[in-house]
Amino acid sequence: MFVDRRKILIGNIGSGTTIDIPLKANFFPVDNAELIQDKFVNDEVEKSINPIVDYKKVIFKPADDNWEIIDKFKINLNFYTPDSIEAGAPSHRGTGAESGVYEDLDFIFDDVFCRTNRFINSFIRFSFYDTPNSGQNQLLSFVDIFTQVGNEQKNEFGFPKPINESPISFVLGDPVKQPEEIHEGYHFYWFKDLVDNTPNQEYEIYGIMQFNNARNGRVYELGASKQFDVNNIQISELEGEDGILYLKIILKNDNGIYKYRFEPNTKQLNFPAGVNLNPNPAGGTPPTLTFWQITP
Amino acid sequence: MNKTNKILLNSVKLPNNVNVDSQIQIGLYNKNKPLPLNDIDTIVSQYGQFVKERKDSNIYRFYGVVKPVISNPLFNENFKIFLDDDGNITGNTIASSGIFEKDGWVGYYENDVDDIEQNTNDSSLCEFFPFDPGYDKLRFLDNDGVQNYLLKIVYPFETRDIQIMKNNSGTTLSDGVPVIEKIEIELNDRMYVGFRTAMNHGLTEGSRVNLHNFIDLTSDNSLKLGQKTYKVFKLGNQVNEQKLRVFVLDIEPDQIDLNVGVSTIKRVVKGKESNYYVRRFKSLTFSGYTDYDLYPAAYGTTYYYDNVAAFNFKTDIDVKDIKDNLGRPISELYLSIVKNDNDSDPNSINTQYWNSTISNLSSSITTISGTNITRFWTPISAGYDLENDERINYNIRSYGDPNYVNSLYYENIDESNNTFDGDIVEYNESELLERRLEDVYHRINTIYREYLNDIDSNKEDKREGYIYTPFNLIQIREFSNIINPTINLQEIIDKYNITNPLDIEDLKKSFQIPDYATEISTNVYKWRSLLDIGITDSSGGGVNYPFESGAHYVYLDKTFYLQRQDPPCEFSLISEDLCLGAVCDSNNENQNKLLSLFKDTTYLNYTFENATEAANLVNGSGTDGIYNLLDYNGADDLNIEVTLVDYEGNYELGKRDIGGTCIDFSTLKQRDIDDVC
Repeated sequence: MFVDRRKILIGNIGSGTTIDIPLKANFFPVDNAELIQDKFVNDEVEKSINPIVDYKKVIFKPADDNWEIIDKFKINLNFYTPDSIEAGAPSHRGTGAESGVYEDLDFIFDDVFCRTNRFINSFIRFSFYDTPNSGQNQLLSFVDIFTQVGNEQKNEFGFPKPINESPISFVLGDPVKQPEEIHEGYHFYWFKDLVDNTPNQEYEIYGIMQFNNARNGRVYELGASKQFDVNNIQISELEGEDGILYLKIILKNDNGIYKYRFEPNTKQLNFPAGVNLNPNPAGGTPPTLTFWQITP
Repeated sequence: MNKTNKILLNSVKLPNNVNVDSQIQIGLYNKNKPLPLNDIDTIVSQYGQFVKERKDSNIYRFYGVVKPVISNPLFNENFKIFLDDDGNITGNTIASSGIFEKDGWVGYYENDVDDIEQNTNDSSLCEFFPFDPGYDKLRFLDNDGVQNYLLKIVYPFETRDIQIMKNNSGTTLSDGVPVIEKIEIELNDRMYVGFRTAMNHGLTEGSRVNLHNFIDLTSDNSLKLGQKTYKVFKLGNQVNEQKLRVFVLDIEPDQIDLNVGVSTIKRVVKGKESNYYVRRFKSLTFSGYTDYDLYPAAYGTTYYYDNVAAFNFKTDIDVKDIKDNLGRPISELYLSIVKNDNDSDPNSINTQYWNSTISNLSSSITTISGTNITRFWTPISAGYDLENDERINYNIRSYGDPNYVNSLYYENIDESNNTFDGDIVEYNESELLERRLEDVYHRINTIYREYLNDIDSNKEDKREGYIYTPFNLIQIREFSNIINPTINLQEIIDKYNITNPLDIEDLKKSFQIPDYATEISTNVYKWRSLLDIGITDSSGGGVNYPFESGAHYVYLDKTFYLQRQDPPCEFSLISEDLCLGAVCDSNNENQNKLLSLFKDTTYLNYTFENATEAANLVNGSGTDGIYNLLDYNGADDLNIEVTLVDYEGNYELGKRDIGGTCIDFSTLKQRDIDDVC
């Protein structure tokens, strides 16, 4: 076999003559082993590693309807009066956006005056869900706010009011601007990433209010509307976007400031104004949420 | 067969053509490549993945607490400010006997039931009120809605040169650490020369220094000042104090002298002189008070009952591609805390009162530039804690002293700035490390105190202000304690005659020379490796902190001291002799003077100069006589001596209301709260 035969004359070969012999090292894969190692395996390894999820939470501050931050707000609770239940015609004490009194829950004056365990261990639980449908929603978080003996529960001399005048109310304030108020429940803590990546940077959740009475162990369901026929309960009246049970809460990134506000539906707004976090121009009473007992 | 073709072995048919063997290469290709038959197992290391992600991340999240140590010894006046019956804002002087200190704050206890109604609704009997500036202007957590301090994350991005010593020779910091005094030191019956530097010299015993612009007093110039490097014999003066500012050389004092202003020293390491400069800081956060949340820390109270403030930066800090002043990747960030000079609630009666007191001053002084907002505070100035010498610039403690009127300082600093002048550092190319010599201090005072004499010509300026260090170190990475062996690429370049710049660049990469390596001569490099997070070197150096959600979480625990500029540590008692009575004080001049002295913050006590005279008046002057010195109506002369305390600091900064805590107050009069409430 003659392959590229060259004739080299002896006379041409002198001292130090070199002959270039090309050696090629082109790689020709004979099967897919390399490809599998280099691409397939690496790709599969990459797929098996879960992406980084940002669990950073930030503080959200409450705001009014114009997204102006409010330093403090009040939660009023209104229950069916024992007398009206006994009479067979359950009715709430308050006629407007006002609270009931601790007498309605069968507390006595000594409970408030002495801060008995059954009084101070009673609390409201504000639970937050992803949707307003109880069959499919998920609990996101909750906050417990314990009973207070604040300025509203005291007379001008600083003593607790009589039990039939002591309002069931909870004032929540900014820990910096309102250092004298209770702060638990004022801030809302949620994932920054989720809010930042929603349209308009607004994220919706839904809240339910319950009162846990340590005196009798009962949990009272509360709604942000009083217009409710206790003798003819319809699930649609309670749940969904227009139900009274769930109160819509919007979390927002407002140019780097994280806020939340309560947005009532038409039913909750009807009568009386149960969700009114707009500032009171006359001063005095802070913006107020009022909840009414749903079932006697 | 339809057709027969004849194939010639050669191209043409000639008699001389003979058959030859021809070969044709035939390639065999198979597109259906087989899969390996064996199982392919790969183990993914969770820890390995964690390390990889942590190494790749340049995102930092900062949170933590600031423990403030703050009080108001530099108050405007000992005034109680309230709305009078006509709704006018009024300031009443609290007499010296009513001034109290509570947890370091100076103020008064409300003891007048009528005044409680006149004051805010929140006040109550025996409630303590600090004098202005009070809680609302100084505390870290402020409930008036306007934060008193602005937090930022900054990094050193460039350097600058300054003139520490006043001189006409153009000598600056870059020429070395200035020396201001020669000291003779005797050790073991031998005389040594010591030198005091204007700032911290950064030397240790055994350090080597070069002396620049000193005077060789030997007849034969045997000191060889320009050629010889001297070893530091010891630090400190004759009694081993001031070690940071005094160093001693083994030279006889009469052989050497200095020329203040131009004489400098430079530390030398392996023949390399250190460089000295000021680092400048640039902000990595730009949204002001919305970059972070500030709130009370749980159970957070300092030893001095200051509320600890917790913070959480909402803004992530990305340090990718950011280089420091030496062109290196960022290893140090700083938490800057800068006083907000516009921290007043304009609706508070206190703010309105003090605004009205400065209304006769020039608007260029009292108004924030470009706005109609009235200033409570002066703009921020800055400098360093340097030696007390009038020839020195940037001595922050001297700010306002008329003897330093021509001194230089950093001026017109505002918390909203994005760049700030920072610390003085030393960098030595042999060590490849920066060492901080002096922290920068910010200084602020109230407009009222600073210009009091202009406001009321009967009063003396109170030019002592508050100072604080604004920049708190955050060590996010550390350089290794080992310097990499010097890489000499030039030898390789010369050996193989490499001329293509791309080839040289490839060569650098192959030797893993980082882009921040120092080129000590052409194509000769040395550097320190930047330790990865979680990696420590042989001396324990390195950082380690949590990595979560793709970001590094760095917890900061910082203390913030708001200090007096020049706390007086000395005092003297001064007396004023006053004669009261219808004869010697017919126009009540002394009576008014006495009332004024009783209200002075430095008032201590009074005594009767003549016991017999006083005894006679006890019997004869009646209840409105000697028993009521505030309105003495006695016909007979009464001579009294009023004693006041004169507090003295190191600088002439006007009147001092309160002495520094370095004074032993037990020698002075003290009162208990029971005296009032």
